[in-house]
Amino acid sequence: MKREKQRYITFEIISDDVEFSKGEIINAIWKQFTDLFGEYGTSKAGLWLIHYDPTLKRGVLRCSLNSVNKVRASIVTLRVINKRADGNHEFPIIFYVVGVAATILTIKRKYFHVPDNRPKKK
Amino acid sequence: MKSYCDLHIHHRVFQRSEDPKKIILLLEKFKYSNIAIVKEKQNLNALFEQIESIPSSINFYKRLNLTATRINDIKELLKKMRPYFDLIAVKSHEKSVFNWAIQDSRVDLLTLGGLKSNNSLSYESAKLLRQFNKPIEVTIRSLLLKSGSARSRVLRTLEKSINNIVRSRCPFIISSDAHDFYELRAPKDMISLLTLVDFPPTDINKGIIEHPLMCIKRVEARADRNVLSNDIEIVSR
Repeated sequence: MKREKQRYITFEIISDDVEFSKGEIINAIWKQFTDLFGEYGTSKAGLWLIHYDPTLKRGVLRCSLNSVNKVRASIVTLRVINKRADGNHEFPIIFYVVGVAATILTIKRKYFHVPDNRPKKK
Repeated sequence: MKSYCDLHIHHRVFQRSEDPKKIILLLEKFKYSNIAIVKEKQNLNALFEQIESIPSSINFYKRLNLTATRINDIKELLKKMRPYFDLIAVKSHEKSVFNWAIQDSRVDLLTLGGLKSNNSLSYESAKLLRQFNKPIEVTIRSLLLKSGSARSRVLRTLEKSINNIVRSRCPFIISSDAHDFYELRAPKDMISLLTLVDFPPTDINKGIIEHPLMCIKRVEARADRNVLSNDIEIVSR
């Protein structure tokens, strides 16, 4: 069986001065995706939160190539995130998809401004 | 550079916020270039004075939503309100009023229901929209706020309407219908949400760029004294 092709979605969370943990974000995304597409659809999407920077409020989600539009649609419908530490209080947020790329290197260069230190081919 | 438009943001978004600059910065981040603010109870003039004092690359327009169940009511409202607003939209569940509004040149666009509506756009109305080159507006607010079986009903109704829009090839506009700061969405995110209802990906971008710009050009032509009607402009007097 061939390796499943994947895509990396860079997103940004727009909220008031509230910091969310990686666990809270992935739980919110997973719950929303399951509500929209069910358990079977979620299993096919291959969703995982690879990286989240709390200072920039930017993160990278990995999903399968065929489910990029579904993941984007479910992210857009997210309106609140639960913070368990604050007694399960809901905080309103806007999830904004900054971009989609096929490799992590492209994501790092474009959206996290990590310089490309690879030796140039002659 | 693409000029994205959101022609349906409520006055409440600015009213509830302490600082309108925060909202304008967010809209610029989302790369919007044209925004229409819908009047509610308060006058829009005070808000527009505040917005004009903030330097931004976004053009703001005044919009009014009219709802009526009888044709005579809509006629009276249009006569009173037309000179004061850039854009006037009509929303009605009565087919006769809806079809009449499509044919009236004072109406700029028609809105496809709202949060409570379960009516879909019929093929006859869609063909009439194409004939008069008037756009129909599709909003994403009901998809954001509803959940469970209510959302699945909205998706079903929306799919039927979009089927008719695509078959008739009438112009359409996609907008957020935001009543709150946290209901604002980026243009590409709105497009990705509507892919759930099988909107063809080749045409969907027109709803956020081309067709709203067509509406705005009409608004500007109406304000320009040198433009007499569609495509007729006085070059020199």
